[in-house]
Amino acid sequence: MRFLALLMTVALAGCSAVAWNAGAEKSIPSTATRAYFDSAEPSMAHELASGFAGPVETAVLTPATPPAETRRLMVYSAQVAVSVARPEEAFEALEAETERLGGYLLSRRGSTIVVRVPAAQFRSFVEFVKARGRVVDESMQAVDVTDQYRDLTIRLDNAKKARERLISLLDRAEKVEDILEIEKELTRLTTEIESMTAQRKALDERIAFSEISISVGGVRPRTQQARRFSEFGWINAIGVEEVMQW
Amino acid sequence: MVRLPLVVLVLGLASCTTSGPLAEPPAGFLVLERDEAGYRATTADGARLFIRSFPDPNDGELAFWADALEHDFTRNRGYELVAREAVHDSDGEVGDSQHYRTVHDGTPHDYLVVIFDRGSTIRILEFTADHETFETHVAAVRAALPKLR
Repeated sequence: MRFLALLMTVALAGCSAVAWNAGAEKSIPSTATRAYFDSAEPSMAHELASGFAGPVETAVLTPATPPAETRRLMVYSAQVAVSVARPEEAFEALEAETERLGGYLLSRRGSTIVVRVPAAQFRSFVEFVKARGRVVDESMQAVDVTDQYRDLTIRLDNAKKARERLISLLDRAEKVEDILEIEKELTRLTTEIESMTAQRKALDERIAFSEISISVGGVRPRTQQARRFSEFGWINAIGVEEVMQW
Repeated sequence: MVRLPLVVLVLGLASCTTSGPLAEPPAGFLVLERDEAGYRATTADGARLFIRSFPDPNDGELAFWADALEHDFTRNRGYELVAREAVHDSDGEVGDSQHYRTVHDGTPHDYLVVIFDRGSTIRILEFTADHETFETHVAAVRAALPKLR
Protein backbone atom coordinates (compact mmCIF):
# COMPACT_ATOMS: atom_id res chain seq x y z
CA MET A 1 0.00 0.00 0.00
CA ARG A 2 2.86 2.31 0.83
CA PHE A 3 4.30 1.88 -2.67
CA LEU A 4 0.99 2.52 -4.26
CA ALA A 5 0.62 5.69 -2.25
CA LEU A 6 4.12 6.76 -3.28
CA LEU A 7 3.38 5.88 -6.89
CA MET A 8 0.30 8.03 -6.79
CA THR A 9 2.32 10.89 -5.33
CA VAL A 10 4.96 10.60 -8.06
CA ALA A 11 2.36 10.39 -10.77
CA LEU A 12 0.48 13.36 -9.38
CA ALA A 13 3.73 15.31 -9.17
CA GLY A 14 4.34 14.59 -12.83
CA CYS A 15 0.79 15.60 -13.75
CA SER A 16 0.85 18.71 -11.63
CA ALA A 17 3.74 20.07 -13.64
CA VAL A 18 1.39 21.41 -16.26
CA ALA A 19 -1.00 22.96 -13.79
CA TRP A 20 1.87 24.45 -11.85
CA ASN A 21 3.39 25.77 -15.00
CA ALA A 22 0.07 27.22 -16.11
CA GLY A 23 -0.14 29.03 -12.80
CA ALA A 24 3.39 30.28 -13.21
CA GLU A 25 2.56 31.70 -16.62
CA LYS A 26 -0.26 33.73 -15.19
CA SER A 27 1.76 35.22 -12.37
CA ILE A 28 4.90 36.01 -14.35
CA PRO A 29 5.11 38.56 -17.11
CA SER A 30 5.80 36.82 -20.40
CA THR A 31 8.92 38.86 -21.06
CA ALA A 32 10.55 38.21 -17.70
CA THR A 33 11.87 34.80 -18.66
CA ARG A 34 15.24 35.27 -16.99
CA ALA A 35 13.69 36.15 -13.62
CA TYR A 36 11.40 33.21 -14.06
CA PHE A 37 14.28 30.84 -14.67
CA ASP A 38 16.21 32.18 -11.70
CA SER A 39 13.32 31.44 -9.40
CA ALA A 40 12.96 27.87 -10.67
CA GLU A 41 14.99 24.90 -9.51
CA PRO A 42 18.70 25.42 -10.28
CA SER A 43 18.97 22.42 -12.60
CA MET A 44 15.75 23.25 -14.39
CA ALA A 45 16.70 26.88 -14.72
CA HIS A 46 20.02 25.91 -16.23
CA GLU A 47 18.48 23.59 -18.79
CA LEU A 48 15.78 26.04 -19.72
CA ALA A 49 18.20 28.91 -20.03
CA SER A 50 20.54 26.90 -22.21
CA GLY A 51 17.61 25.61 -24.19
CA PHE A 52 16.48 29.15 -24.88
CA ALA A 53 19.92 30.48 -25.73
CA GLY A 54 20.43 28.28 -28.79
CA PRO A 55 17.34 28.92 -30.87
CA VAL A 56 17.01 32.53 -29.78
CA GLU A 57 20.36 33.51 -31.25
CA THR A 58 19.27 32.32 -34.66
CA ALA A 59 15.70 33.50 -34.41
CA VAL A 60 16.41 37.15 -33.66
CA LEU A 61 16.33 39.06 -36.93
CA THR A 62 17.40 42.45 -35.68
CA PRO A 63 21.16 43.12 -35.77
CA ALA A 64 21.38 44.06 -32.10
CA THR A 65 20.73 41.17 -29.72
CA PRO A 66 18.19 42.27 -27.14
CA PRO A 67 18.63 41.50 -23.43
CA ALA A 68 17.74 37.97 -22.38
CA GLU A 69 14.59 39.24 -20.64
CA THR A 70 13.13 40.50 -23.92
CA ARG A 71 14.14 37.64 -26.19
CA ARG A 72 11.28 35.89 -27.85
CA LEU A 73 11.24 32.63 -29.72
CA MET A 74 9.70 33.29 -33.11
CA VAL A 75 8.74 31.03 -35.98
CA TYR A 76 8.77 32.85 -39.31
CA SER A 77 7.19 31.66 -42.53
CA ALA A 78 6.17 33.17 -45.85
CA GLN A 79 4.35 32.36 -49.06
CA VAL A 80 5.31 34.18 -52.24
CA ALA A 81 3.91 33.78 -55.75
CA VAL A 82 5.94 35.30 -58.56
CA SER A 83 5.46 35.47 -62.28
CA VAL A 84 8.65 35.06 -64.28
CA ALA A 85 9.59 34.68 -67.93
CA ARG A 86 11.75 31.60 -67.33
CA PRO A 87 10.45 29.43 -64.48
CA GLU A 88 13.22 26.82 -64.73
CA GLU A 89 15.90 29.45 -64.36
CA ALA A 90 14.01 30.86 -61.39
CA PHE A 91 13.88 27.45 -59.72
CA GLU A 92 17.59 26.95 -60.23
CA ALA A 93 18.34 30.37 -58.79
CA LEU A 94 16.11 29.74 -55.76
CA GLU A 95 17.69 26.38 -55.01
CA ALA A 96 21.20 27.80 -55.40
CA GLU A 97 20.45 30.72 -53.09
CA THR A 98 18.87 28.41 -50.52
CA GLU A 99 21.97 26.24 -50.50
CA ARG A 100 24.27 29.26 -50.33
CA LEU A 101 22.47 30.53 -47.22
CA GLY A 102 22.78 27.20 -45.48
CA GLY A 103 19.17 26.20 -46.02
CA TYR A 104 17.66 23.21 -47.73
CA LEU A 105 14.94 22.19 -50.15
CA LEU A 106 11.93 20.72 -48.39
CA SER A 107 9.81 19.87 -51.40
CA ARG A 108 9.09 20.69 -55.01
CA ARG A 109 5.75 19.89 -56.49
CA GLY A 110 4.68 21.27 -59.84
CA SER A 111 5.30 24.97 -59.86
CA THR A 112 5.68 25.25 -56.08
CA ILE A 113 8.91 24.91 -54.19
CA VAL A 114 9.18 24.88 -50.38
CA VAL A 115 12.51 25.68 -48.77
CA ARG A 116 13.86 26.30 -45.30
CA VAL A 117 16.52 28.92 -44.70
CA PRO A 118 18.22 29.99 -41.46
CA ALA A 119 15.90 32.35 -39.62
CA ALA A 120 18.48 35.13 -39.70
CA GLN A 121 18.35 35.00 -43.52
CA PHE A 122 14.55 35.01 -43.72
CA ARG A 123 13.98 38.59 -44.84
CA SER A 124 16.86 38.73 -47.28
CA PHE A 125 15.74 35.48 -48.87
CA VAL A 126 12.16 36.71 -49.29
CA GLU A 127 13.53 39.84 -50.97
CA PHE A 128 15.63 37.61 -53.23
CA VAL A 129 12.51 35.65 -54.21
CA LYS A 130 10.53 38.82 -54.92
CA ALA A 131 13.32 40.13 -57.13
CA ARG A 132 13.01 37.08 -59.42
CA GLY A 133 9.91 38.41 -61.14
CA ARG A 134 6.59 40.13 -60.71
CA VAL A 135 5.07 39.44 -57.31
CA VAL A 136 1.56 38.10 -57.73
CA ASP A 137 0.85 37.30 -54.09
CA GLU A 138 2.75 37.54 -50.84
CA SER A 139 2.09 36.77 -47.18
CA MET A 140 4.24 36.44 -44.07
CA GLN A 141 3.63 35.09 -40.60
CA ALA A 142 5.55 35.44 -37.35
CA VAL A 143 4.39 33.19 -34.50
CA ASP A 144 5.65 33.71 -30.96
CA VAL A 145 6.31 30.23 -29.50
CA THR A 146 8.14 31.38 -26.36
CA ASP A 147 5.42 30.22 -23.97
CA GLN A 148 4.84 26.99 -25.87
CA TYR A 149 8.56 26.22 -25.78
CA ARG A 150 8.86 27.02 -22.09
CA ASP A 151 5.82 24.94 -21.21
CA LEU A 152 7.07 21.99 -23.22
CA THR A 153 10.52 22.20 -21.65
CA ILE A 154 9.14 22.28 -18.13
CA ARG A 155 6.78 19.36 -18.80
CA LEU A 156 9.62 17.37 -20.28
CA ASP A 157 11.91 18.11 -17.36
CA ASN A 158 9.26 17.14 -14.81
CA ALA A 159 8.45 13.95 -16.66
CA LYS A 160 12.13 12.99 -16.61
CA LYS A 161 12.35 13.67 -12.89
CA ALA A 162 9.21 11.64 -12.26
CA ARG A 163 10.66 8.76 -14.23
CA GLU A 164 13.86 8.88 -12.18
CA ARG A 165 11.82 8.71 -9.00
CA LEU A 166 9.82 5.78 -10.34
CA ILE A 167 13.02 3.92 -11.20
CA SER A 168 14.19 4.51 -7.65
CA LEU A 169 10.87 3.18 -6.33
CA LEU A 170 11.15 0.17 -8.58
CA ASP A 171 14.46 -0.76 -6.99
CA ARG A 172 12.79 -0.85 -3.60
CA ALA A 173 9.54 -2.52 -4.63
CA GLU A 174 9.00 -6.07 -3.41
CA LYS A 175 5.42 -6.97 -4.24
CA VAL A 176 4.68 -8.11 -7.76
CA GLU A 177 1.62 -5.88 -8.01
CA ASP A 178 3.68 -2.84 -7.03
CA ILE A 179 6.34 -3.70 -9.58
CA LEU A 180 3.73 -4.12 -12.33
CA GLU A 181 2.06 -0.86 -11.45
CA ILE A 182 5.37 1.04 -11.44
CA GLU A 183 6.44 -0.50 -14.73
CA LYS A 184 3.14 0.46 -16.29
CA GLU A 185 3.60 4.04 -15.17
CA LEU A 186 7.22 3.98 -16.36
CA THR A 187 6.10 2.88 -19.82
CA ARG A 188 3.55 5.66 -19.98
CA LEU A 189 6.08 8.27 -18.87
CA THR A 190 8.73 7.03 -21.29
CA THR A 191 6.31 7.31 -24.19
CA GLU A 192 5.36 10.78 -23.04
CA ILE A 193 9.01 11.85 -22.76
CA GLU A 194 9.80 10.56 -26.23
CA SER A 195 6.82 12.42 -27.65
CA MET A 196 7.73 15.67 -25.93
CA THR A 197 11.39 15.34 -26.95
CA ALA A 198 10.33 14.97 -30.58
CA GLN A 199 8.00 17.95 -30.25
CA ARG A 200 10.77 20.12 -28.83
CA LYS A 201 13.18 19.03 -31.54
CA ALA A 202 10.62 19.94 -34.20
CA LEU A 203 10.06 23.29 -32.50
CA ASP A 204 13.81 23.93 -32.43
CA GLU A 205 13.91 23.25 -36.16
CA ARG A 206 11.00 25.60 -36.87
CA ILE A 207 12.64 28.35 -34.83
CA ALA A 208 16.07 27.95 -36.38
CA PHE A 209 14.81 27.63 -39.96
CA SER A 210 12.09 29.70 -41.61
CA GLU A 211 9.88 27.99 -44.13
CA ILE A 212 9.16 29.76 -47.40
CA SER A 213 6.77 28.45 -50.01
CA ILE A 214 7.32 29.88 -53.48
CA SER A 215 4.95 29.48 -56.39
CA VAL A 216 6.57 30.28 -59.71
CA GLY A 217 4.31 30.99 -62.64
CA GLY A 218 5.50 31.55 -66.17
CA VAL A 219 4.52 34.68 -68.03
CA ARG A 220 1.89 33.56 -70.46
CA PRO A 221 2.17 34.54 -74.09
CA ARG A 222 -0.59 36.65 -75.49
CA THR A 223 -2.08 33.77 -77.43
CA GLN A 224 -2.78 31.90 -74.20
CA GLN A 225 -4.59 34.62 -72.36
CA ALA A 226 -7.53 36.78 -73.12
CA ARG A 227 -5.76 40.03 -73.79
CA ARG A 228 -7.50 43.21 -72.88
CA PHE A 229 -6.63 46.14 -75.05
CA SER A 230 -5.55 49.57 -73.95
CA GLU A 231 -7.87 52.46 -74.60
CA PHE A 232 -4.91 54.26 -76.17
CA GLY A 233 -4.50 53.17 -79.74
CA TRP A 234 -0.77 53.81 -80.03
CA ILE A 235 -0.10 51.50 -77.06
CA ASN A 236 -1.95 48.68 -78.82
CA ALA A 237 0.21 49.30 -81.89
CA ILE A 238 3.52 48.62 -80.12
CA GLY A 239 5.00 45.64 -78.30
CA VAL A 240 6.93 42.49 -79.08
CA GLU A 241 4.05 41.00 -81.05
CA GLU A 242 3.80 44.06 -83.30
CA VAL A 243 7.53 44.48 -83.85
CA MET A 244 7.99 40.81 -84.70
CA GLN A 245 5.23 41.09 -87.30
CA TRP A 246 6.35 44.27 -89.03
CA MET B 1 26.85 88.54 -102.14
CA VAL B 2 27.70 85.00 -103.21
CA ARG B 3 29.09 83.99 -99.80
CA LEU B 4 25.84 84.35 -97.86
CA PRO B 5 23.79 81.88 -99.99
CA LEU B 6 26.72 79.50 -99.83
CA VAL B 7 26.74 79.59 -96.06
CA VAL B 8 22.99 79.03 -96.00
CA LEU B 9 23.36 76.10 -98.38
CA VAL B 10 26.11 74.49 -96.29
CA LEU B 11 24.09 74.91 -93.10
CA GLY B 12 21.05 73.50 -94.83
CA LEU B 13 22.92 70.45 -96.04
CA ALA B 14 24.43 69.95 -92.60
CA SER B 15 21.00 70.00 -91.01
CA CYS B 16 19.75 67.48 -93.56
CA THR B 17 22.53 64.98 -92.85
CA THR B 18 21.89 65.08 -89.11
CA SER B 19 18.12 65.11 -89.22
CA GLY B 20 15.95 62.09 -88.37
CA PRO B 21 15.51 60.21 -85.12
CA LEU B 22 18.92 58.59 -85.10
CA ALA B 23 21.36 59.63 -87.77
CA GLU B 24 23.18 56.32 -87.63
CA PRO B 25 21.70 53.05 -86.40
CA PRO B 26 23.46 51.30 -83.52
CA ALA B 27 26.46 49.16 -84.42
CA GLY B 28 25.45 45.89 -86.07
CA PHE B 29 22.06 47.15 -87.30
CA LEU B 30 20.99 47.59 -90.90
CA VAL B 31 18.22 50.06 -91.69
CA LEU B 32 15.48 48.38 -93.73
CA GLU B 33 13.10 51.28 -94.10
CA ARG B 34 13.30 54.89 -93.10
CA ASP B 35 10.90 57.83 -93.00
CA GLU B 36 10.90 61.19 -91.28
CA ALA B 37 9.46 59.72 -88.10
CA GLY B 38 11.96 56.90 -87.69
CA TYR B 39 13.12 53.63 -89.15
CA ARG B 40 13.07 49.89 -88.97
CA ALA B 41 16.40 48.16 -88.55
CA THR B 42 17.58 44.63 -87.89
CA THR B 43 20.72 42.72 -87.07
CA ALA B 44 22.08 39.69 -88.89
CA ASP B 45 20.90 37.48 -86.01
CA GLY B 46 17.36 38.80 -86.00
CA ALA B 47 17.15 41.54 -83.36
CA ARG B 48 14.72 44.26 -84.32
CA LEU B 49 14.80 47.99 -83.71
CA PHE B 50 11.82 50.19 -84.50
CA ILE B 51 11.73 53.94 -84.00
CA ARG B 52 8.50 55.74 -84.76
CA SER B 53 6.16 58.50 -83.63
CA PHE B 54 2.49 58.64 -82.76
CA PRO B 55 0.26 61.72 -82.55
CA ASP B 56 -0.71 62.81 -79.06
CA PRO B 57 -3.89 64.85 -79.43
CA ASN B 58 -4.46 64.65 -75.68
CA ASP B 59 -1.07 66.21 -74.97
CA GLY B 60 -0.36 63.81 -72.11
CA GLU B 61 2.68 64.08 -69.88
CA LEU B 62 5.57 61.64 -70.16
CA ALA B 63 4.84 60.14 -66.74
CA PHE B 64 1.24 59.46 -67.71
CA TRP B 65 2.10 57.71 -70.96
CA ALA B 66 4.93 55.74 -69.35
CA ASP B 67 2.60 54.53 -66.58
CA ALA B 68 -0.11 53.69 -69.12
CA LEU B 69 2.43 51.68 -71.06
CA GLU B 70 3.59 49.74 -68.00
CA HIS B 71 0.01 49.12 -66.94
CA ASP B 72 -0.93 47.68 -70.32
CA PHE B 73 2.16 45.54 -70.68
CA THR B 74 2.09 44.07 -67.18
CA ARG B 75 -1.67 43.82 -66.61
CA ASN B 76 -3.11 43.25 -70.06
CA ARG B 77 -0.31 41.36 -71.76
CA GLY B 78 1.44 39.57 -68.92
CA TYR B 79 4.87 41.07 -69.60
CA GLU B 80 7.35 40.97 -66.74
CA LEU B 81 8.90 44.36 -65.98
CA VAL B 82 12.63 43.92 -65.46
CA ALA B 83 13.72 47.54 -65.09
CA ARG B 84 12.46 51.03 -65.62
CA GLU B 85 14.66 54.12 -65.69
CA ALA B 86 15.00 57.63 -67.00
CA VAL B 87 17.14 58.24 -70.08
CA HIS B 88 18.06 61.35 -72.10
CA ASP B 89 18.11 62.02 -75.82
CA SER B 90 20.55 64.25 -77.71
CA ASP B 91 18.65 67.38 -76.65
CA GLY B 92 18.76 66.40 -72.99
CA GLU B 93 15.05 65.59 -73.03
CA VAL B 94 14.04 62.99 -70.49
CA GLY B 95 12.62 59.72 -71.71
CA ASP B 96 11.29 56.67 -69.88
CA SER B 97 13.04 53.37 -70.59
CA GLN B 98 11.27 50.12 -69.73
CA HIS B 99 12.77 46.65 -70.05
CA TYR B 100 10.36 43.71 -70.18
CA ARG B 101 10.44 39.96 -70.59
CA THR B 102 7.75 37.93 -72.24
CA VAL B 103 7.23 34.83 -74.32
CA HIS B 104 6.75 35.15 -78.07
CA ASP B 105 6.02 32.09 -80.19
CA GLY B 106 7.07 29.90 -77.28
CA THR B 107 10.45 31.59 -76.92
CA PRO B 108 11.43 33.94 -74.08
CA HIS B 109 11.96 37.41 -75.50
CA ASP B 110 13.31 40.63 -74.04
CA TYR B 111 11.82 43.94 -75.04
CA LEU B 112 13.19 47.42 -74.48
CA VAL B 113 10.85 50.33 -75.07
CA VAL B 114 11.78 53.98 -74.63
CA ILE B 115 9.18 56.71 -74.71
CA PHE B 116 9.76 60.43 -75.25
CA ASP B 117 7.08 63.08 -74.97
CA ARG B 118 7.50 65.58 -77.80
CA GLY B 119 4.47 67.71 -77.09
CA SER B 120 2.00 66.83 -79.80
CA THR B 121 3.80 63.56 -80.64
CA ILE B 122 5.04 60.55 -78.76
CA ARG B 123 8.39 59.17 -79.90
CA ILE B 124 8.86 55.45 -79.31
CA LEU B 125 11.97 53.30 -79.62
CA GLU B 126 11.46 49.55 -79.49
CA PHE B 127 14.15 46.92 -79.43
CA THR B 128 13.35 43.22 -79.11
CA ALA B 129 14.89 39.79 -79.68
CA ASP B 130 15.15 36.44 -77.99
CA HIS B 131 17.03 36.66 -74.71
CA GLU B 132 20.46 35.70 -75.99
CA THR B 133 20.32 37.96 -79.05
CA PHE B 134 18.93 40.79 -76.96
CA GLU B 135 21.88 40.57 -74.58
CA THR B 136 24.27 40.69 -77.54
CA HIS B 137 22.96 44.00 -78.88
CA VAL B 138 21.32 45.85 -76.00
CA ALA B 139 24.52 47.68 -75.06
CA ALA B 140 24.79 49.15 -78.56
CA VAL B 141 21.15 50.26 -78.45
CA ARG B 142 21.56 51.87 -75.05
CA ALA B 143 24.73 53.61 -76.22
CA ALA B 144 22.80 55.08 -79.16
CA LEU B 145 20.00 56.52 -77.02
CA PRO B 146 21.78 59.81 -76.23
CA LYS B 147 22.10 60.37 -80.00
CA LEU B 148 18.36 60.06 -80.54
CA ARG B 149 16.80 63.20 -81.94
